[in-house]
Amino acid sequence: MSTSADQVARLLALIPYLRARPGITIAEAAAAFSLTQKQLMSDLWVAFMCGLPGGMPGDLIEVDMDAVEGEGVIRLSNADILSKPLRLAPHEVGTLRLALQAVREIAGPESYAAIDSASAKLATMSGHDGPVAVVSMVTGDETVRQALVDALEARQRVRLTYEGGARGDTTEPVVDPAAIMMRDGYAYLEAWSLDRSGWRSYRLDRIVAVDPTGAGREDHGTPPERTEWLSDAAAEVTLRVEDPAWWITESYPTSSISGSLVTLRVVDPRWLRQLVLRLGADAEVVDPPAAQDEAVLAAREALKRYEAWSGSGGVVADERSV
Amino acid sequence: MAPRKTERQLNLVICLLAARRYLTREKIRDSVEGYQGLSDVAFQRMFERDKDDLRDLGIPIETGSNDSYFDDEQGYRILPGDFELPPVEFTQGEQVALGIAAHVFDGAALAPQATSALGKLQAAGVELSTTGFVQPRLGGDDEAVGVVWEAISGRRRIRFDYRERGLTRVVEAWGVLVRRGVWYVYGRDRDREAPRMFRLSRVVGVVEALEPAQAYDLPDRSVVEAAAASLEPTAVTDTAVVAIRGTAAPALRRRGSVLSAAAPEGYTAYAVPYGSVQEIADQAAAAAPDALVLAPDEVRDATLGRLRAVAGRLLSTERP
Repeated sequence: MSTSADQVARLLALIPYLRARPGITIAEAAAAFSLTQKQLMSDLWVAFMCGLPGGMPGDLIEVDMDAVEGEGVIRLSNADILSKPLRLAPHEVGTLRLALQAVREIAGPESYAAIDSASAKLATMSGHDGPVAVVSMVTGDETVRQALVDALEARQRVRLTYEGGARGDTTEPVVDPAAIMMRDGYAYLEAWSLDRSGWRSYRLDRIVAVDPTGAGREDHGTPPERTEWLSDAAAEVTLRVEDPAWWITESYPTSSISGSLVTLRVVDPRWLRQLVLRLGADAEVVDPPAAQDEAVLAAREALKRYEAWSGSGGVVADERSV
Repeated sequence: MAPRKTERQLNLVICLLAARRYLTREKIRDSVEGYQGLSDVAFQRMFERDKDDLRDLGIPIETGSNDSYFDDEQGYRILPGDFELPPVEFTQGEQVALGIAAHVFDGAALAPQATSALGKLQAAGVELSTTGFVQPRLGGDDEAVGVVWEAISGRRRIRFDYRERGLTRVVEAWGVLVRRGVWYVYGRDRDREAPRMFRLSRVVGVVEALEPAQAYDLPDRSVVEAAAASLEPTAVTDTAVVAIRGTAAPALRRRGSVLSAAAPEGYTAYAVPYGSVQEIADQAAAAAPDALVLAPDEVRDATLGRLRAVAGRLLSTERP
């Protein structure tokens, strides 16, 4: 789509928007349409030049450009013909409904009804159905999500029961929650850890319980962007990847891909060890060679233990649960 | 020149919206700022292009004549009822949901569509609000995502080169699946005459939307949903016995229950339900040597296969 068509489409929404909100600030209007103030100004100048056929002053849309340039507020009038926006296109409806599906995956169950009814209203707004999309993300238990949303809204400090990542042990960190974010299809709680005195990310599907502490949260500013942490701490490791393991290029941050050679950014060596073990013959570290040593040692030790166990005649005699 | 064109097209929309009757080309040429002073040929070409551009935006420009008894010249108009978004009202809770949804595609390929749709809703009086506590994202920064999305909408076939065996595929796309940040397109592969799923990140180069529009029919939504279900882990069908040391392998421990069965020294035996042999072998291998599969043979062998492949490699200190 050309820039010009984009601008026409935008003006057909912007004009009724501004018409209904006399005196709105430039900043607010620009934010509502994801525009820079400069782009918004250029839109206003176009609106200023348009109107009913005839081109007489009374026919044109009026924009008080003095108020725009002086006070930074917009007063647009004489645009009754564009009092309503253009209908939503089916793909626009589809896009919003897809976004709502993402919201639903991460929301607490108390919000489901509002999300579903918003989506149902959108569905009636375009002539035919938009594209079908199915979303699946890893966002943990819905009661955990609701407890976290409640704590965020009430600005409460909580104690998590967390079945941690690479090390695999269970901890009970006391945290001040800041936000729930998505990265690569997984939901994370960004929170200030009081034990560590720093920002930490907790994967929602590994949070087993959220308990109130009774205390309010303190203000620790905003959590850092996760991508920044990665670039700071990450080491680059290059693997030769066979087709069955190619999914790792989509699931993890890569810094380069060349043929079957994939360079991953690795923060935690234990994570790399687990990845290499699970991929088996489908991927092998080529650089730096030592990055694979832990996995090789772990595999050798495991094989010894498997042999010792079958050597001892170990069989599973009894499957009763206790 | 872009502002001029925008002005002309916007004026054309306003002119056709205000028209009570079909307007002939000549009338439009006289009325709309920007068409005056052109040669006949230049005007016709420009008008055709403007009309196509506006229709691509979804603006319903009608063609017809004012008097059906006489062979009048064809004219054009836009019926406000077809053009305008019908009145909408969202509750406070729904507006919060939309406010969060507004940022799902920030920086992604579908961002312009979301922005445009939300602009229209706000113009109709919807106020978006968000707390910023919850920030869902779907990924999909590939340009291919936007192309596929609009192609499905217009039911245009898509053509692309796929990484697997480097073949060019022509696909009638039925829907999109987003699983853990990975985008798939599902539809009928024209060459294989069968439904296929493609990962958009494995597309090499660009996705091309082919003319004409409305080239095929979409199946029922349930067809796409069934395909999505096939990507999910299979339902639990069997139970494995896994020996786990200490607090390792929490995902396996949580799914399982402690068994009184014998286990290697220092380990505890767990009964762990599973649906897919490959999936549980992935998890058991990843946790080695803190997790050992004791039974069944199928799962143990799959796990051992992974471990043998890795154990056979040289350590950095063993290399010549």
